[in-house]
Amino acid sequence: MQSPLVPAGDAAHDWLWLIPALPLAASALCGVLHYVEARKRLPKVAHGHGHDQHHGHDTHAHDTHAHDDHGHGHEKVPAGLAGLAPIVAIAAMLVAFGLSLKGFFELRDGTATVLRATSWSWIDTGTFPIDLTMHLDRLSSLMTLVVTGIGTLIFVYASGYMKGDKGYGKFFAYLSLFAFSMLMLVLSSSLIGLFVGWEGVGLCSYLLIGFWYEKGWPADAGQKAFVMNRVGDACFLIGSFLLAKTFLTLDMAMIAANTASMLPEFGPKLFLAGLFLFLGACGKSAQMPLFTWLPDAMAGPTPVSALIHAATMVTAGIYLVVRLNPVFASSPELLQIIGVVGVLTAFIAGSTALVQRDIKKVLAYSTVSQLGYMFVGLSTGAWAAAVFHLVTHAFFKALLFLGAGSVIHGMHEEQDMHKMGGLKKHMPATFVTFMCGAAALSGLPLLSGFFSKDEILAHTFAQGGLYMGIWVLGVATAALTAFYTWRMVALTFYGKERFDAHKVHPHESPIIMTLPLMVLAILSVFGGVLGLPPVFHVAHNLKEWLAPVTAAGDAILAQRGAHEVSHTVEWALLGLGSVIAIVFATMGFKKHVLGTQADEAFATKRSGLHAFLTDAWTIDTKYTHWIVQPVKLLAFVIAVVFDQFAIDGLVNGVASFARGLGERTRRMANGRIASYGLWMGAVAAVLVLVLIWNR
Amino acid sequence: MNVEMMKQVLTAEALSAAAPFLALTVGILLLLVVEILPGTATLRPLVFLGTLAAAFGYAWQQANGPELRVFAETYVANSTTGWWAILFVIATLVAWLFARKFYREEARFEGEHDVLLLSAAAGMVLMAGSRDLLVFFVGLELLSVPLYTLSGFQRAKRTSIEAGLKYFVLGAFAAAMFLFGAALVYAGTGTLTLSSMDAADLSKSITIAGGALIAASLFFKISVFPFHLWVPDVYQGAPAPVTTFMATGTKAAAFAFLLPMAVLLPSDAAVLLAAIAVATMALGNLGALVQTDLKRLLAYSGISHAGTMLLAVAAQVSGGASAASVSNAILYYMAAYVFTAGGAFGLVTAMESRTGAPVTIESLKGLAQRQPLWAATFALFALSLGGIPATGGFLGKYLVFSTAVQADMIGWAIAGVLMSVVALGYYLRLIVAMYMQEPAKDATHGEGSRPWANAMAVVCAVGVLVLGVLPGWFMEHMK
Repeated sequence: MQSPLVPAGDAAHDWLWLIPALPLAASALCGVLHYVEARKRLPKVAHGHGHDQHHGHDTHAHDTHAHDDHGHGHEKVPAGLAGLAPIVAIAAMLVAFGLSLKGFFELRDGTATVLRATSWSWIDTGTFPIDLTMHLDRLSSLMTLVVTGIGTLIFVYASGYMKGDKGYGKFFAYLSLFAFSMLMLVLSSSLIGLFVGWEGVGLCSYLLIGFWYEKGWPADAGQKAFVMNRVGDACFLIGSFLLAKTFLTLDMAMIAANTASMLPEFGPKLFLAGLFLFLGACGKSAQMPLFTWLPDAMAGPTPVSALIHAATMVTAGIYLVVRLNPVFASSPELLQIIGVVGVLTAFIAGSTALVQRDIKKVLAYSTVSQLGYMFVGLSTGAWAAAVFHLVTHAFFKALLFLGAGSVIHGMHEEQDMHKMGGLKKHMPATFVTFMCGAAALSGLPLLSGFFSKDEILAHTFAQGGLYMGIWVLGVATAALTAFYTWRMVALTFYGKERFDAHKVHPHESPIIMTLPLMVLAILSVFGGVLGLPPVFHVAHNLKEWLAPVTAAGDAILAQRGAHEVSHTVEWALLGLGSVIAIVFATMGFKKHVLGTQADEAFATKRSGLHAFLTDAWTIDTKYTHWIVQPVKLLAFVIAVVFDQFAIDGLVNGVASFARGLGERTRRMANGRIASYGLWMGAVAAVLVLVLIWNR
Repeated sequence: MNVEMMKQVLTAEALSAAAPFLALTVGILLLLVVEILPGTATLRPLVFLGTLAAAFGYAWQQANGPELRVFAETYVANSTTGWWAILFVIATLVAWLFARKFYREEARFEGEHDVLLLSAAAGMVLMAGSRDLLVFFVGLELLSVPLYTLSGFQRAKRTSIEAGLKYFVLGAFAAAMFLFGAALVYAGTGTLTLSSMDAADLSKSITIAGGALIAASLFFKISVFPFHLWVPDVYQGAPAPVTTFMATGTKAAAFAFLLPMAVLLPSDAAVLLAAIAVATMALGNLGALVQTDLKRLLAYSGISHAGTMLLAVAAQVSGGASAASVSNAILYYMAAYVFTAGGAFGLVTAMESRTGAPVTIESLKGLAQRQPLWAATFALFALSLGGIPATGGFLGKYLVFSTAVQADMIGWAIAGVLMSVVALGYYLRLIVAMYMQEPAKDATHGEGSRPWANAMAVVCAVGVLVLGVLPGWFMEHMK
C-alpha cells in the first residue's frame, strides 16, 4: 500500500531525529545537574547506614521546604550548578527551533511536501511490523515551529520565574522532557509513535502539576489530570487498533492517503475508529465530558506549567484530527458530534469563566472554551481555520498566562483578582502586553483572535442546518469571551488597590520575564496575517500552506457538496463579530472597573446561578457522585464483602456439610479453605456444563 | 526397561531437548551433596548460580535452535519453550537474590530453601515443554510441592504456615481436578499426547468436559476469576521471596502450557474465556483499589494481569488470532511482568526483611527520601504495571490487546483497555506516597542499605526499560 504522498525514508533527512532528541538530552543533563547540586546541598548529618542514603534527588526538597507554606519566592536558594540547567534547556530548544526553521524552509522552497527520516524498526512481530520514523510535512512543520518557538519563550520566562526554587534543575528536566514528548507527538509518522508522545505529555503534565507537592492538593490535581487523560488514551488506543485492523498499517500518512478508497467498504468501521480517536482527543484537549481536569491542573502552582498545557499539550487533540482528516471527513455524523461537543464545551466553559475569581482559572476555562471553538472549526471541515485558531490562540493565551504569572509573581503569589486592582501603574510592561493578549482573545477587530474566530464562525454559518444552532451558541460564546476577558483586565489592572499596601508591594517582573511577553504581544496583534478572510482579496496563507495535508479530507467533503458564503454575508458576519466583541468587552470592562461590586451583587442576587457557574455547571460534582463513588463502592464490595464474607456465607449457607468437612482445617486456617474449595469445584462444574451444553 | 529401549528413547536429540531440565536436576543433586559434606556450605551459592547459568545456556541454545519433538512427541523444545525456560531461570534468580539475608530463624535451612527453589524451576521447565497431559502433570507437581513447602517456610510465623496449608489444600484440589480432566480426555481420545488427538475425538462432549476441567485447574494456577480466592491470602502470608516467585514464575509456567492445551477447548469457548478475562481484570483492579497492604495490592494487581493475558488466549481459541502472535504476545507480556512484578515484590521483600512488619502504603510514604534508588525503581515498576509507554508493560498490553482486535473481539478489548484506567488509579497512589508525601514520624521501612536488593532492583529496572524501548532485539530472537 504505497502512495505518492508517502515517500520512503531518506538518510539525508535524518537530522529530523535531532529535533526531539535535543530536548531529551537536555532533560537528562538537567536531571544530572539537579542531582549533583542536590547532593551537594544535603545536610551534613550522619545518615546511619549505607551509601545509598545519599542518592537523594528529592531529598533536599523536604529538608528545606517543609516549613514554607507560601510556595516559592520567600526562601531563595542559590542555584549553584543547577543554574546551568536553563542554559542547557534553552540552548537545546533554540537549536531545535533552528532545525524546525530549516525544515520549514526546505518544505517551502523545495519540491517535496514531506521530509522523512529513515525509520527505526521498533517492533517486528512478523505479521505486523511497527516502524518509528520522523515525518515532517507542512502540518507537523507548523506544529514544531509553535512548540519549539513558543517553548523557547516559555523556557526563558521560566528561568526568571523559577529562580531561587530548590527544584530549579528538576523543573527544567521536566520541561525539556515535556518538549521532547510533544515533539515526538507531532513528528511521529505512526499512531504508535504519536501515542508515545501522547502519553509522555500526560506524564510530564502530572509531574509539572504536582511540582510543588508540599502544597498538598496539586498532587491530587495531577492525579486527576492523569487518570482523566488515561480515559481518553484508552479510547485513543482502541481507535488506533481499529485503524490498524482496517488499514494494516499504523502510518498516519498512509491511512490518510487510503481512506477514500476504503470508505465504501469500511464506512462504519471508520466511523467507529474516528469516534474513539475523537474521544481520545477529548481527553487530551479537555472537551466534554473529559474537560474538568484542565482547570484544576492549571490552577496548580506554576503558571509555566499552566501555560505549557494551554499553548501546546491541549492542542494535541486538534492536531490528531487534522492529521487524520480524511477519517473524520468520511462521516458527516461524526463531524456533527464533534461540532456539538465542541460548541457545548465552548459555551459551558465560557460561562464558567464569567464568575471565577482566580485569575488563572479564568484563563484555564477560557482555554477549554477556545479549544471548543477549534473543534467546531474541525467539524465544518475547515481544518485550516482550526489550525489558524490553534496558532493564534497559542500566541495570545501564552501571553496571557505569562502575564498572569508576572502579576502573581509581583503580588507575592496572590491569585485572587478580588485582592488585586490598580496594578496598571505598578507593572506597566505587564499591563500593556496583557492588554494586547486580552484584545486578541476577546476578538477585537483586526487582531489575531478576531480573524481566526470569525473564520470558524463563518464556516459554521455556511453549513446551515444543525450548524445554525452551533453557530448561535458560538456567537453567544464570543460575547461571553469578550465579557470575561475585560472583566479580568478591569479587576486586575484598574480600580482601587484592594490589597494591603503595607504587606504587598507589587513590582514589575525582571526583563527576562517581560521580554517573552513583548515578543508574544507582537505575535498576538499581528498573527492575523497568517489567514486573512477572502473578502480582503489576499491569499489565506495558512490554508494554502496546509492544502497538501488536507487535500484528502477536502476531496471527501467536496463529494458531499461545498458550502461557501458570499462576500456580502461574510462582511455582515465580520461586522456582527466586531460589534459583539466591542459591546461585550465594554460591558465587561465598565461593570468591573470600579471594583468587585458587580461580582458581589451577582453572587447575592442570583446565588443559585452563581454557584452553578462557579462549579462549572456542577459537572465535577456529578462525576464524583455518579462515577467515582460507585467505583469506590464496587471496589469495596468486591474486596471486602465479596472476597471475604460472601463466599463463606454463600457457600456455607447453601452447603452446610462444608462446615463438617473442613472443621479441622478450618480452625487452623481461618476457616476459608473449605468454602474456597467448594466454590472452585462449583465453578469448574459450571464451566464444564456451559461448554458441553450445546453438544 | 532394557538397554535397547533406553537407546531408542534417550537419543542425542532427546537429551539436548531436555538439557535445561537435566541441568537443573543435576544442580539439585549437587546441592544435596554439598549439604551433606561438611565445610562446603560456602559452595552453595556457587552451585546454585552455576546451575542456573547452565540451564540458561541450554535454554539459550534452544531459543535459537530448531524445533525438536522427542519422547514420542510428549516433549518439545523450540524457540518458544527456550524463551520460557530463560524466563523461568530469570524468575528463579530474582526470587533467590531477594531471598538473600531475608530469613533469620530459618537461615540454617537455606540449603533446603535453595533445593526447593531449583526443583520448582525444574518443574516449570518441564511444564512449558510438555505436550502430554501426564508429562505436564509431573512438572506441575514438581513445581507445586516445593512451593507448598516454601510458602510455609517461616515455621515460626502463623501467617506463613497458614498460607502454606491453604495453598496446599487448594492446590491438591486443583491437581485432582486436572487428573479427572485428563482421565476424561483419555476416555474421549484414547491418548494423553496432544499431537495424537484427532479432530473428531476433540469435539466429543467428554473430551470437552475434560478440557474444561484441565483449563479450570490451570486457571487456579494463573489465578483468574473465580479461581483467584486463595491469591491475596497466600501472597500476603507466604514469605516475600516466595511470593515473588509465585507471582512471576508459576503464572508463567501455567500460561506456557495453557497455550498448547487450548486445542482441547472448542472455539465457542472463546466468549467464555473473554468474559472470565474481563471479569478478572475488573475484579483484580477494583480489588486492588482499596488495599493498603502492599503484598495484597500487588496480588490483586497480579490477578488483573492474568486476566489481561487470558484475553489473548481467548483470541487464540476463537481462531481469529494466529497462535504465533498470541504466543508472542503472552511471552512478551510475561517477560515484562517477570521483571516488573519481580522487582516490585522484591522491593517489598527488601522493605519487609528489616522489620518483619507488613509493608503498607502508609510505610511507603517518603521512601524517596530514605531510599531514592528503591523509590525510583519502584515508581518505574508501577508505571510499567500501569502500561505506560517506554516500559515493557506497555508493549505487552499493546500486543495482547491487538490480538484481541485481530480476532474481532473489539468489545472485550475496549473493556480491557478501560480497565487499565482504573488500574492506574492505585499505581499512581504508590508514586504519590513515595514522592509527594511526608513519611510518618516512626517510619522504619526501608532503612539501611541492602546491596543485593539494590542490585536486583537495578537489574529489573533495566529489564523493564530494555523491553520497553528496544523490543526489536527480543522479537528478532523470538521468531
